[in-house]
Amino acid sequence: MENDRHMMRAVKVSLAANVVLCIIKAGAIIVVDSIAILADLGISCIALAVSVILYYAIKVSNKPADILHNYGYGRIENVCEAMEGVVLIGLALAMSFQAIMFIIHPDEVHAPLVGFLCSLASVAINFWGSYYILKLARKSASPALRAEGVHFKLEGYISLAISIAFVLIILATKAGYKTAAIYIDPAATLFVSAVIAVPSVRLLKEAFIKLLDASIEESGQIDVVKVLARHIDKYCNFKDLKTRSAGRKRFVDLHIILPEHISIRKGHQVISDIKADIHSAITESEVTIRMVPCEKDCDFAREKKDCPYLK
Amino acid sequence: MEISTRKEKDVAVVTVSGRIDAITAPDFEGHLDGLIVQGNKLILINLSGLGYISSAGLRSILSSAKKLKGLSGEIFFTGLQGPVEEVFQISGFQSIFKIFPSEGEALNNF
Repeated sequence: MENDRHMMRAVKVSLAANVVLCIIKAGAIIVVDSIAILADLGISCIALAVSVILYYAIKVSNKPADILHNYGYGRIENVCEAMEGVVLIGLALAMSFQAIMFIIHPDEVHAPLVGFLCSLASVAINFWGSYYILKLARKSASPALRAEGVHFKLEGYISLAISIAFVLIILATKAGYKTAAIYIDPAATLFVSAVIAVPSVRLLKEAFIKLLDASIEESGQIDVVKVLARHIDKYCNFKDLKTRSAGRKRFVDLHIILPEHISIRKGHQVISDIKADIHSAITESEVTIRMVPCEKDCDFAREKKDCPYLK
Repeated sequence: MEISTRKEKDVAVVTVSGRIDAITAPDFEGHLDGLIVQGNKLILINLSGLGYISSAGLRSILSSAKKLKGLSGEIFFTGLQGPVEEVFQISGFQSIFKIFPSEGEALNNF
């Protein structure tokens, strides 16, 4: 429940921040005729649309499992994460195209000081938003929120690059290099596109792998082994350990081999203990363990000795 | 990953180097299973040349150790260093397996 609250708070922050960013950039574009700010405004508008989608995605993913979706709705978060990746890659391509067009047909930037101040405000909002959303994403282990936090951070870097570009434009104009100043704006846009493209591709790749039922992260798998090692004297062996994730939920499936003559009560206790330990080690996990009887292929069975796991 | 095995008295000494990850762990487990099927009850694994072990590798070790325990055998280790030693510590393997500082000391123990 607390996780759900964290997530909804993060999405509301994302929505509010994106609205403010859109207003600042739309205001700036009227005064400053800058392609970099126009591209940045485009990013913020799309980010706002993604935040709205994220809001509904988080709401849906918080719904409990039902008869139609027996494993819950967690996977919608991975879909949202992939969407963020696609949107950011699309933006990088569109920005690059527009920057190249402006290099071919250059145009002068008006009121660069206003542009600089607006971009600086965007830097502050984006980095604060990123810090806050990523903090809540870590608490709730939500991939969709993590993607949104990364998105904000990237936007922060974009605005930072644009701010630096405006400083350069002001300096170049004052120094009398007007022709050079014209090219700083599209050059900054191209640089920013390249900066966004790399993490966006990584984000999309990660989301896609999760959608293809990849195993959970390595630290989670080590946690499972750790629990199995802790209970090593309670079971004969284990097999068919499988893990997967859907959004922030982690699923662990496992077969535990127990002595054939163990009582149902004791067998159930062993399974429950292992299950509880895995559950507490991996947040938001659903653990399914099946009891499998031993095949009596050990020395204890062959030599009719007391089974050590029945004690 | 490279594995070599030699016999020292009753102990099968397995030297493994490189990486044991999700790709190589099944081969590693297959190698240990092969030794168990051949009747080796004491297996010493020298990890001094191992640079990385993943959770899949740890699973292979745990599963083989369980098989061997059922046959009154045992797996023990030597040559733990760097990240491999760290993973053994994190996973709790250091408290459930016998670990020796050198091959000689391990072999003298049996």
